[in-house]
Amino acid sequence: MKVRPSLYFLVFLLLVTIYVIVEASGYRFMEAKLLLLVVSGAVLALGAVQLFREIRPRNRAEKQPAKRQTKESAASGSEARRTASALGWTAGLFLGTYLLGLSIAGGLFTLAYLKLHRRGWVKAILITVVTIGVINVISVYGLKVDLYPGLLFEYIERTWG
Amino acid sequence: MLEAFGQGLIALFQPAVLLVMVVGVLVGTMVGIIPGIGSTFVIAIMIPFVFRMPPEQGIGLLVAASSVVGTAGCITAILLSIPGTAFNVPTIINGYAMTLRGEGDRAIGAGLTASMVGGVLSVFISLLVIPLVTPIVLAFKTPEMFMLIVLGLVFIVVLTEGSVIKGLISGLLGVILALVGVHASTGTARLTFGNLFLYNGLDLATAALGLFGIGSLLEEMAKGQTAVRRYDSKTKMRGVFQGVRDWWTHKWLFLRCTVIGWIVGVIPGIGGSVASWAAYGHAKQTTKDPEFDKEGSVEGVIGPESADNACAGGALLTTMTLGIPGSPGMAVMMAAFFMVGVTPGPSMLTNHLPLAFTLLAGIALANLMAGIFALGATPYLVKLARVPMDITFPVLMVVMLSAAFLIRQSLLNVVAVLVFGILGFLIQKFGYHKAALTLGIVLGELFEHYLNNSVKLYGPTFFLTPVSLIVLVLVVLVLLQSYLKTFRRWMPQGAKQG
Repeated sequence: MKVRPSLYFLVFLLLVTIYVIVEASGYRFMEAKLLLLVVSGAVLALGAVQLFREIRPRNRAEKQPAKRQTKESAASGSEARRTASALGWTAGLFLGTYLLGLSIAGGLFTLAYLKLHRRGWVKAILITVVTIGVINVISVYGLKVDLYPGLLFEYIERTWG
Repeated sequence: MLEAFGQGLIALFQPAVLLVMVVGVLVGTMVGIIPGIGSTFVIAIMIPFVFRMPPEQGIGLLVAASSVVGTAGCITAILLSIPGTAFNVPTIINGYAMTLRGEGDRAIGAGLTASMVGGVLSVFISLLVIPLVTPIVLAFKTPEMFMLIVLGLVFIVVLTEGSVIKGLISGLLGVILALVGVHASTGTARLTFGNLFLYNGLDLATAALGLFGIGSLLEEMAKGQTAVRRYDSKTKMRGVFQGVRDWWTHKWLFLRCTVIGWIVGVIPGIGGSVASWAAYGHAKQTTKDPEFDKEGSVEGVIGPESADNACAGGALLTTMTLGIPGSPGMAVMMAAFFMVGVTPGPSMLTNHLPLAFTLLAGIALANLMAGIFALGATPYLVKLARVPMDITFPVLMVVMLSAAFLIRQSLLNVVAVLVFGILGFLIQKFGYHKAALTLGIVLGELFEHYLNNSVKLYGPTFFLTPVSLIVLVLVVLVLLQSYLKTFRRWMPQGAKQG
């Protein structure tokens, strides 16, 4: 029996909802918890119905011809690889931002991504400089807000600044 | 009255006022293109500049900048699935789908025209009803407001395509997310994990940027395709004019949605997001286009865009005439009124009537300026949608994370946007509804606020007032219409099976 990813997602949503109910039950004031409990209860009830529906039509999917199932699983496999790659890059950007700040990490991320996707140096550098330049001009000069400097630079400033 | 109107117009067309309005329009348009930053922000950052200006110039600058933010936001919403402001989120659903099928310029043409004319029309409506509006607005007390929120929540059923259960789950999860933060009247920290960042709750701009911006980008990456599947490279102004013609073809929808936007704007404390969602729901309910929400329908762009800018005219009217801010942006605008020495409220209609007319006509003029400027630039802007995904992905990701930081100037907001992005991607992938989730977030907190206050002030039978009952009838009618629509959809299938 193969469990579909949508089922995992639904179970995840239901677990979150159960957490909300447990957390809300502990609030002191009825006014603060009432709506949360009512809404979470409704999500739980609807989720149970959906869970039943998700499990039920599985037999029909299992009856599909083997060839079609192989084709579909190959397509979903490559989609999963592409999704994992996009999420990996995003996680890298966030980690870089956390450590080096938005300007440096954003620049490195754009340059690395463009170079690894077969863009020429000139084009990659130009796009990176324009992107980071525009963001900095808008935030620093337009909105008068400094972009996040990064943990490393904050540490350096605290220690030696 | 006519004399005051004439004085107001003369004041508006003073070179100094016109100049600051042009500056306001340019700033508003640029800010509108930056994802997640809305009119409240633009008013807030411009307030220091208006301190020493005469009222016509100072408030004119703010009105011009804030009223066109949504116009520019429509462009990024349609082309890149990134809402310039939270008001533009409903536009994405059909607008971005149109871009994917190579009709982004047509969608922008229709959206910008609806936005521009909607903004102008709302001013005319405001001018016409100034003497009538006060008693109507004052009739909306807490119970009536609550019933309006219920009407908004009922639209989740309307928004839901496919599984109604998944739609309802999405909408209710949105309500739960809206309740994160400190409960106003008891001080209870709800679902905050003890984190101070979550004490203020989750920002709508943050949620919209994540769900629709990052979420759609991840979706496109997963599909492994460039943003635009089919595109006529020779397309220039033709698509834009087609969009303008579409707007004229759907003029009645435009008119109805403008009135919806204006009414929501006039009612204090609801905001433009509700206006555009209500208009989107109405467009969805009345459309005969089978491509609505699927391959993209121009009606799904015209509806929310006309309501979005129309809301600004209504909100300014309430702010000026009653001294009650119609939206968070207008609350900041009120501070600016005081700074330039004008007290908003009923006295505005007696002491500063020419100024009231200047500001209302200023909205119309700003909308015209921004609309014409954006329409002219559209053929160049649509080229953005033709950029290959391996260039778009890193650039947009960096832009969106920077915008996420700028919204609350916190790295945790970047985390929040990423979490919403992944949630948006999964929600779309597994057939749930981003639109319903967003509507839940928009209305959740308002729902609780007005429910608590209604019960406290009027008891459990608070909804038995004439206006509340009228809204209740509307709720029933919306539900009935949705039910009949579903029933009609099922009927032929039943007949075939039979």
